[in-house]
Amino acid sequence: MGVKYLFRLLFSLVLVHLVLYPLPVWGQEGKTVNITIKGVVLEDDTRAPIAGATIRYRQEGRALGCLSRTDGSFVLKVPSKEAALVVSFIGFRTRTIELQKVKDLQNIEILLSTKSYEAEELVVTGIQKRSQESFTGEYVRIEGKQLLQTNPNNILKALEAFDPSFRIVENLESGSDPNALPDFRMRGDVQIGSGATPDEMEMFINGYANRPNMPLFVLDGFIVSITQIMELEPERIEQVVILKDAAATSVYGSKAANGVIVFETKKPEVGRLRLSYFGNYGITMPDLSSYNMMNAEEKLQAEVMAGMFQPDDPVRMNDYTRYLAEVQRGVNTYWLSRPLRTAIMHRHSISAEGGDAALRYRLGISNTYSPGVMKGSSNNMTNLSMTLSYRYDDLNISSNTSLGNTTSQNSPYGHFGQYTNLNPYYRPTDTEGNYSPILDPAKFLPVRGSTRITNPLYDAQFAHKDGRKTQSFNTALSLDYALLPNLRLTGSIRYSQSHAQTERFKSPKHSSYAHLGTLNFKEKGEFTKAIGQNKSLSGDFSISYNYSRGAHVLSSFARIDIAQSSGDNISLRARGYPNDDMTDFLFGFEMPSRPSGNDSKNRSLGLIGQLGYMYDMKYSVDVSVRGDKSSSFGANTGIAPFWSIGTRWNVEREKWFPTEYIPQMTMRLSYGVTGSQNYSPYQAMRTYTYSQYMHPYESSNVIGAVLMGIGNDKLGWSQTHNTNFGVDMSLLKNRLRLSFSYYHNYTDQLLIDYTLAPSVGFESMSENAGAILNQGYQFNISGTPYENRAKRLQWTIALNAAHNRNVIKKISNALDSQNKANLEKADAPLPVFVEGESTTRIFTVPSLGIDPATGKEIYLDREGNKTFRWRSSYKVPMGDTSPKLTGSINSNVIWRNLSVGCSFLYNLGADRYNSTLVSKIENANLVYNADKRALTERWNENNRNAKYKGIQMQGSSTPQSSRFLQKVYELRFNSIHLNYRLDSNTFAWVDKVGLRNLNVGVNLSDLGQLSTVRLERGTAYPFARSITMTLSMMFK
Amino acid sequence: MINLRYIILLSLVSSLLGTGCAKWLDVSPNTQQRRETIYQKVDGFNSVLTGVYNIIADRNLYGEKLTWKYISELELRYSVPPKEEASLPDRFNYDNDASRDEQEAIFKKAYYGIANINDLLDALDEYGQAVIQDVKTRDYIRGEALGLRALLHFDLLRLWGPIYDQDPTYKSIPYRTTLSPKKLDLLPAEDVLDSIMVDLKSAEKLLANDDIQWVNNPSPRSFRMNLYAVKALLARVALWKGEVATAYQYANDVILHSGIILSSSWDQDPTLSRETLFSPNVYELSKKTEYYFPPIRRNITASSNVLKYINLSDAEELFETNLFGGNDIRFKDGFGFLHNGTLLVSRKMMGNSLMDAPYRADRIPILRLAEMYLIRAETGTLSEAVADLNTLRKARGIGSSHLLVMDDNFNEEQRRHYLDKEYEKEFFTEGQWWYYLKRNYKKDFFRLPPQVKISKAVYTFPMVRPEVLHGLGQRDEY
Repeated sequence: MGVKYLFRLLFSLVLVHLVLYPLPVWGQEGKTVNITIKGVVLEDDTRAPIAGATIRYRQEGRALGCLSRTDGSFVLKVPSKEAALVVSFIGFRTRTIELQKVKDLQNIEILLSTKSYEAEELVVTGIQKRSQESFTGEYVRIEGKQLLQTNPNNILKALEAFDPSFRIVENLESGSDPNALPDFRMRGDVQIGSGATPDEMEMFINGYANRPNMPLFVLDGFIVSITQIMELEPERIEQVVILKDAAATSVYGSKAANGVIVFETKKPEVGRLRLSYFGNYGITMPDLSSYNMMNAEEKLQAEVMAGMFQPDDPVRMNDYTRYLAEVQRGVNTYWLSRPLRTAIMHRHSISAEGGDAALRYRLGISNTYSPGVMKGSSNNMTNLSMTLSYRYDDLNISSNTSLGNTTSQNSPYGHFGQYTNLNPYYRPTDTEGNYSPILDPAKFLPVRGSTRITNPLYDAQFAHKDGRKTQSFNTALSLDYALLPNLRLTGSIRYSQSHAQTERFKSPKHSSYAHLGTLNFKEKGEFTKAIGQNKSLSGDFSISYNYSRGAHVLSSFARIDIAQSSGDNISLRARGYPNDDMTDFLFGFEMPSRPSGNDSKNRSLGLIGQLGYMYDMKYSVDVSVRGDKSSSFGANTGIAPFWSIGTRWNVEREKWFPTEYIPQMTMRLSYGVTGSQNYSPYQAMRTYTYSQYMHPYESSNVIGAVLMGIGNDKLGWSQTHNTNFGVDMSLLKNRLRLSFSYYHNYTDQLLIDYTLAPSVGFESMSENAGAILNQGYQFNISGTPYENRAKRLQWTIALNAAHNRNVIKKISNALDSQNKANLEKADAPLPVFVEGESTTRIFTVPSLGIDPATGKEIYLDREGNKTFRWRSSYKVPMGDTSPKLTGSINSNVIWRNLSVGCSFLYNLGADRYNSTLVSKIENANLVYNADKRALTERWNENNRNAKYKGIQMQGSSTPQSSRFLQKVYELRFNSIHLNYRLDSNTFAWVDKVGLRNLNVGVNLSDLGQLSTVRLERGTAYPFARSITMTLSMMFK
Repeated sequence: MINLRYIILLSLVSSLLGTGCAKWLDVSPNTQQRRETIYQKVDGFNSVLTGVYNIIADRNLYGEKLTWKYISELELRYSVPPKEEASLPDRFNYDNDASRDEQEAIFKKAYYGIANINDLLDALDEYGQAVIQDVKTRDYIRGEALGLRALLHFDLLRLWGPIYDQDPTYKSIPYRTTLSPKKLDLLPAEDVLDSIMVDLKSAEKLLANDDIQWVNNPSPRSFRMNLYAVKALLARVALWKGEVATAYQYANDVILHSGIILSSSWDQDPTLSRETLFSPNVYELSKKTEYYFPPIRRNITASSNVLKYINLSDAEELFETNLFGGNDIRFKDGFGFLHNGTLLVSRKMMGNSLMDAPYRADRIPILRLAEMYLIRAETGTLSEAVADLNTLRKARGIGSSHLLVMDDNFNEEQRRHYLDKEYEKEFFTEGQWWYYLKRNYKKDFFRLPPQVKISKAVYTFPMVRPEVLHGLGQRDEY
């Protein structure tokens, strides 16, 4: 209710203003007004008149002003010529005109430029454009150009280098898989738990919907899925704005708690038709430096040491001679490289743009071909985009349409981990060079006898399908109308539709069908197909009103957002494919199971109100309110209110401020409440589903419906109370820039999946319980250590760092049973959520290492006594997986047309449970290959100070302990790039071949890392390094 | 000009503020219905009840685990290849992941069914009067729901509760009558039984006028939790409780008044639909079980590693073919079993019905008339026992020359012996034998490996781990 009243208030305020101050001139009540200035405000490139531009007269103790009329003209009476006019208009660069320098005061022509106005004057929040000088929020703005330079293939990766609070969650499993979807964090975890793991189909249709800590992505004013951002061509990006505190994000209300990242695409520029080409050509190579596998000889030695071959057992000794013969023959297969390749990627994009004052256009088409380093894996994209903008009088219409098509294939070679397991003394092929299906018919296994080792390369040679196709269509139309010179109405509507399809085919020749013999073709071969689609329609309408009088500038804004989305997907499975050529679903003999799938529908509504006030360009205050209502809220939750208040002080505008030493300094302080609401409607409202038993039930004439969850009608959104303080300053004639911010984010009413006793009938129930505090700081230092304008040489260096501390403040007993279950586990530590600890705390048993006398591990019990016995009850908090400090270092040298830069990321002070040490060394089953250290660093009579227990055939069954916790200090070589601009002044041929400009560049990314922890990275898909050449041409 | 603009503005503002949005926001996907929506129609109530039947037929309950899979494996019903014999004792040691997973799945699914029933019963109180005009329909829905709630609780009790006559106050399971996240303590077995009885008695009253059609042209109700299913369940529960007279009375009632008769030919009706009082429909049962119980002889081969077979020699011993069992339809090829040389598979779960009648296919029997005869034989006089055992044996094809004779030789011990044998033969793959063994605390049964020492701990599953972690399931395990 409160929100509604606030809106009413806001609107009436707007109306009162309109009535009281109809139009032009104000402030003329002063003393002698003797000079009349006449002029016109025009757009610089098209010379179209600008209506409603603010013309301010600035003189000591005086403030006068007016607004331009619809034809751009204005008349202003001023007392003196010894002053300046400040002309500003939203969307244009503000200009200051010294009156004394103007010849004809009766006919001033003021040209305002739209060019890169976003770049310097305005902050794009996705919902509106705010003037930078009065914006009270905390944000980081990165130009598209900078991103493109840092990583021309992956803009999200590039983004990491510019803001330390934005991090891609490192996925040690999926490595550089071109088809993996990354996860992101901003300023720490706001929610507990990983949320539901959505199936692949839902992931691609709904994107981030189920990931509780994923920031919100906004593209040209609309909330979009992560997949749409990944499909975006890097060169279309004008800028990216990361909004961090409540003053900046509260306009996104219940979706804002994890931060908001706003992407804005380029607007077409005026001129005659211009063609540009942008190309990337890259080489991607697997990075196996984290692997340290034994070679054939070492492996056999390890097996001997482990006692696999007992001299009195003829069968075992027979094995030994067999392996030894192979080793002596020189068999030493490096299995790791078998499924890998060096891949060549390329991307081309062509665009055409141009237009005049009334109509502008931009058309683009791009094609990306990016194969992965595992053979057969690839991700190819084709995108089409069209931007049109039309201006007539006070009306501005623009439309944006894009079509995307992505095809991705996963490798037929499967999980990379299986290659690290194979013993190097096996030969992959037989004497004729064919892949043998079986590498070892009977590898000795203690207790169970023997096991058969199959060749993963064998199955990879048959027909295979494992891929995904997605098509997306997005179109948006927006309208901007200056109803009154200082009052604008904007509205937009967007429709987007996406289709996804996954196909998986397993050949009938696959070795897993070997037991069915040669016949039985009805059961061999399998095809799984899933099809899904999603449609969403959203619209918004907003009204903004600006008013300034003297030193007072008031802006108000109100908006209504509505959105609807619906989607469904279906999955089918068939089997019985007679041969490898019939790789289409149609050829299946039968469908052994019913189709499965689900559908979703969601509607939401948001109301936004904002009021800003600035005094004398020095002090500004912003108040924003948003009310949210969604079809997925609980029945008793009502409208979700979110709000913020932000203040800003442009210190450098103060008279007393020593601008000669500190040319620029601003301070910001904000407080506000944002929310997070990611749960399905059924978690709030008791809902029945028919999809569980979508088949007839004999002896009933209806389909069965069952409860989806217990429902919690009090379920609402979690609330994050954000406090943010920031300072920006520049020193030494702007050669050194510093910015610092501190935040304190207290999330209350946390959404927690309360595990229930199974006798309730449901495993869990969502509740608003518990609280988390994230506090931290971040800073940015950038400077220009050397600059010589004459030589056109400049060196810039930037360092940024972020620290976040996360504490669970309140948790009730909601997670008790989950904690207990996780604490009981003996293998790799699982999250345990305890009050007073962080969400990333590691609980494990303290270990003193290996006892030199016995070779056993010594643990500490709760009382601090040494013991050989491992008990899960001895677990104590021992480390934390989040780093103390993380950030990046970027450096750039520009000399004439050449620019060279590099970027490093660093991570300091995190703890990591090194599972490689456990699984590949101490617990390594010697039936398979293992890390080299499994042979050398083992305890025995002669090596009593070894780090790891004695060698064993099947590996030890060492449980988790602090022995495997390691401190991480790492430096990642993110990228090195080199760019050269060939301009027509230096290179005459550039002009001759019809080019306006030509840029060539080289980029090396993910070169490697220095780390204190040696850990296998990319266990399911290896990491890759890449070298990319970029070429950009603009034709005349 | 300006005035016109004001009008536009004002109308926009007022339209914005005036929009009612609550209704527009109230949407849900096609496959879902909110609680307050689904219960606005009689069909909604029926859908939820059908949902409960589907849960009953789920593979974690009677569709698989409680009948032919897990419980039958505990009964050691199927033969295993010699190399796997060494692992048989592991089945009775419940302290391993495999057993825990099986048991937890049963426990969770059963309480999930109970949760759905409880919400349906609450909704009947809330909306029933207004939505369902027909009193009979309303009563039937409530009666069936109460019967099903009792059925699920009773089987949870039989698995996690004590051997009743040994330890009637043993903390067993919670009895849930409302759907709420509230924690409930484990109740002593006798209290659980009392609650079950209360539910069943109410169900009996509500279903009193049940118009069931059996035999030739069965009505859909004959496969649901109908009046006689409730009575049969009452007999079963009373016997567990040791209330012999009550058990006798209900068993007698079912035999005399249900109108159903023992079937003497199973060849056309492997699911025994003609003598079943309650049997849920498992969707595509025949497809789901065809690998375990192949309906085609040549597919019954030892090379299949999932086959649920019994060796001919074991089957011969079980059905006493050397004495009189050769013609027993529970054993005969094409009747109770399908024989392929030395391998036999049960036909009960094959699903297909060859009878040209509706509703009969793809069913798993939960309550059958035969059990009523056995209950009456156990609770009546010795002469009644002889008569009932003879009726059953005759129907099963045991020749009249082998009928039991009521004379001085037939004593309690004899009665127990024949009951043992009949339970063992009758309920192959149905899971009921396990409860018979438990009720009588049998220390040994057919093919039990000698190293397995049967104790109370074998017949009482340990409380599932998550329940214990919630601080609810604490009890002294056997």
